[in-house]
Amino acid sequence: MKTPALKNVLYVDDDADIREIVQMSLSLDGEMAVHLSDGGERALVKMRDERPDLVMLDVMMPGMDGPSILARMRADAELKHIPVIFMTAKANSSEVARFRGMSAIGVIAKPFDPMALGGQVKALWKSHHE
Amino acid sequence: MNDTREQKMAAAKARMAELAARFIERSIGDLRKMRDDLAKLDAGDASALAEIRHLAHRMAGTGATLGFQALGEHAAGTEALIDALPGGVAPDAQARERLAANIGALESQLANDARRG
Repeated sequence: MKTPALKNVLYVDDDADIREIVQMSLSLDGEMAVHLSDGGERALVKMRDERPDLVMLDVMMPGMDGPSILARMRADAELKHIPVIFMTAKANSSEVARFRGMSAIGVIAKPFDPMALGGQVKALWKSHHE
Repeated sequence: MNDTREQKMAAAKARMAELAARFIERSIGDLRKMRDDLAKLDAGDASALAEIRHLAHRMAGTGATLGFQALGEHAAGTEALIDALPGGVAPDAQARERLAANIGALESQLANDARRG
């Protein structure tokens, strides 16, 4: 199967600095538009507005955490098809298995290398479509 | 004219340096808040533990991403210490002492990082 182009990404994190770093990292190649949300219901509204190809979710956020946002997406006819990548400081094998069991297409460990993040995301996107 | 990848990377690195400086400033304030929260814990306010954990979690993730690996590891250790405490009860004196020692280590590391600029 041909891998569709990844053009439109939404990154959700409560930490403003990390949001900015992720946006810079994913924009280096000039191929992706990167939208940002600080979480909660606002993230779900942004998904409906922007219709991203991919959503990247921080796991640990106050209020609605990443897994809770994913659960809301999967119960929503408009959003349930959007692939999700989790970003977490606890990327051990049992947590990765748990997130994959929740339908995440991949997990990226925090801290991440800002110069390598785009490559990691593209690799997960490609393997999801193989 | 569109920037080349090299120009974008140079701009990103420059911005990362600005964010690193801002992170150091914010962390000085966050450690003050942790000390205040520790005092609240000593006074019996168990809710202050969640605030310390939140600050440590943010310091761990952002610090290490911006290149402050040692600080990030100390902060992750503080978060892990809190996660290992029994939930729903105020930490005992021994746990509070360990928490204070962790915060002291964070302060020392932050002072080193700030000196290095």
